[in-house]
Amino acid sequence: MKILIIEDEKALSESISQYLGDEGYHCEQALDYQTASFKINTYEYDCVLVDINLPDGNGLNIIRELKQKKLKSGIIIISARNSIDDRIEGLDIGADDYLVKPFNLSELNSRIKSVIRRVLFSGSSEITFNEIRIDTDAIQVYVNDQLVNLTKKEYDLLIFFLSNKNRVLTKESIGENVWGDYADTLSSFDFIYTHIKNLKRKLMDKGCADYLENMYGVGYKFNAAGE
Amino acid sequence: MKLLTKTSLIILTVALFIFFLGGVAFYKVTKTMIVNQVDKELQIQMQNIISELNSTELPKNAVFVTENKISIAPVQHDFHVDQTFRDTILFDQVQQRNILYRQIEHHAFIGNQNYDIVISQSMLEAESLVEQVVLTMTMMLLTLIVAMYFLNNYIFKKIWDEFFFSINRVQNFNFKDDPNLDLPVSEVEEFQAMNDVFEKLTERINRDYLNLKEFTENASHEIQTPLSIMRAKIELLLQEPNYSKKQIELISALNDSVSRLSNINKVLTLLTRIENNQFPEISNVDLSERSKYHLENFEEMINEKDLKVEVELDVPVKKEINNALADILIINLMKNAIRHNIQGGELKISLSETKFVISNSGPKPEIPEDQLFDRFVHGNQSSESLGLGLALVKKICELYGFSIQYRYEDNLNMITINFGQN
Repeated sequence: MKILIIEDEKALSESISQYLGDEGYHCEQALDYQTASFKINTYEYDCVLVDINLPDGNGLNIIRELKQKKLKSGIIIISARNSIDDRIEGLDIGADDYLVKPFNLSELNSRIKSVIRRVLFSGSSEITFNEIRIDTDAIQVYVNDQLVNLTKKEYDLLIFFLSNKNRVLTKESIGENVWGDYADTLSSFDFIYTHIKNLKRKLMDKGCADYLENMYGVGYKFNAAGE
Repeated sequence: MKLLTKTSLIILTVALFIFFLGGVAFYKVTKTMIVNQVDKELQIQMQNIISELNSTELPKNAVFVTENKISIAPVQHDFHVDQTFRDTILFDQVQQRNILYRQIEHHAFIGNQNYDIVISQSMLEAESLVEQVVLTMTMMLLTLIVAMYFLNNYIFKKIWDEFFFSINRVQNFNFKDDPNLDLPVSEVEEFQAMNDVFEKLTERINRDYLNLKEFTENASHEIQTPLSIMRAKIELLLQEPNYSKKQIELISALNDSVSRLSNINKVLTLLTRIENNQFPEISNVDLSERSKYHLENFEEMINEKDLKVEVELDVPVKKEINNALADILIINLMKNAIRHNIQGGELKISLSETKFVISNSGPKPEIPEDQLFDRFVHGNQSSESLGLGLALVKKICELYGFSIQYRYEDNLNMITINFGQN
């Protein structure tokens, strides 16, 4: 899987590259519009992350170029501009998702996986991990082939954990994943614990191993080794 | 005291004083003039009488008294008296009362006989003249005062109109509606000076306001990038294996602070954007449907606290507001009511066409009620709360002209939003 990161802030671009690299993606970076334009016209990527504010151009034009080529690559906008107009325009011209800075790398990772699933596998893919099987079409979760009755939030949470296996996920990133855009206005994550407790109980009731590990109050980790 | 009353009173006092002094002086002068005139007439009469007497043979003891006016009496002793004038009161037969008379007395030697001649002149006409003068003066004074009152009122209305216009304009001035004061040009120098000062002042305030706004916008925007990097680096740092508990705790503390900063920044940016009216997209939002949806999202927390929920959300209540802001409003109110609730407490939500009421059990907040909706006000400094939730709620209410009130009764914290005419 090849990912192009178009982001003028080098430190951020490198952090993304490092995090995604650990996930097994091959990442390339473009720090300006020129480089980005050259790269998308030369190589093919499975997913492109686009910052709208570039020193020498508007990231939205990169999306237009990509769309003209009719390539099957996912596009995620990463922008500091939280304007609804930008978001609508970005999604209108063909971006698959939109993340507002500052975002969590785990959230980005989860979104990339989701976009790749949708774009590359036309959304009809199953996520399987050991005894857990998720039918993303039917939005249903099975443990040892037994249906687990999860709420929408618990389902989202499980997908988020499975997208970031063996990663320490902070309470903030979990909160943002579950609550979306409103998490920042909530500014309290005392409810995360309850959600995770419920999810854990429901999974373990069906004989699932205890994968969800509390990390000293920082957050949680989906420990693929189980305990 | 109004300026009009004050000036009127001063002018009235001075006018009364001047009129009184003037009246007295005028009275005196007139009186003196009249007396002098009478004296002159008496003198001429005396001369005429004496020359008449000299040409006529008079009986030695004859005394002529005519109507109290002229008396000629022979006197024995021989002494010389000059003309003397005096005031005296005599009984008037015609008027049947005492009347002031002016008299002239003269001793004349006529035909070897000394005569004492006295001529009296009634001062009745002179007195009535003075009376007339005083009356006229008083009438004039009264007329002048009345005229001054109306004139003053007229001038006040006419001239001060501009002044009140300017004052009114400044009073209702709002940068957000219209940054220009647009005061009219005044012909009155003083008012023009005042208008100039007002214009300069508002221009400066406006400039400062815009600078501050720009700074806030830039600051929150520019802070986002370093914050993104910090958060990304912390996340990467967290992924390193084999941390000790102490190391994790250090990173955790770092992470908490960065998150807090990041959240403050996000909410402040949001507040600024609401203030700048950057949520122009308005749709017909069904608040009862949104409330039900969000309440469901809080289900886990409600269960955790074992809250008794009482809702009246059956009637659809549609308001023309921004979708995202409606959600932020509802979520923050619910979050607030749940977080500050007690274990096993009550949560009541009711929505009608006119108002939205949300109340929760719990102690009265330590924060003074009037500061409850201010920024960064929270009862407990160590809590995770930023103290921005209710500030956001208030800002959104202000944007749509809703009024918001807090009340504490029956151990319930109650927040009411009145939708008003919207």
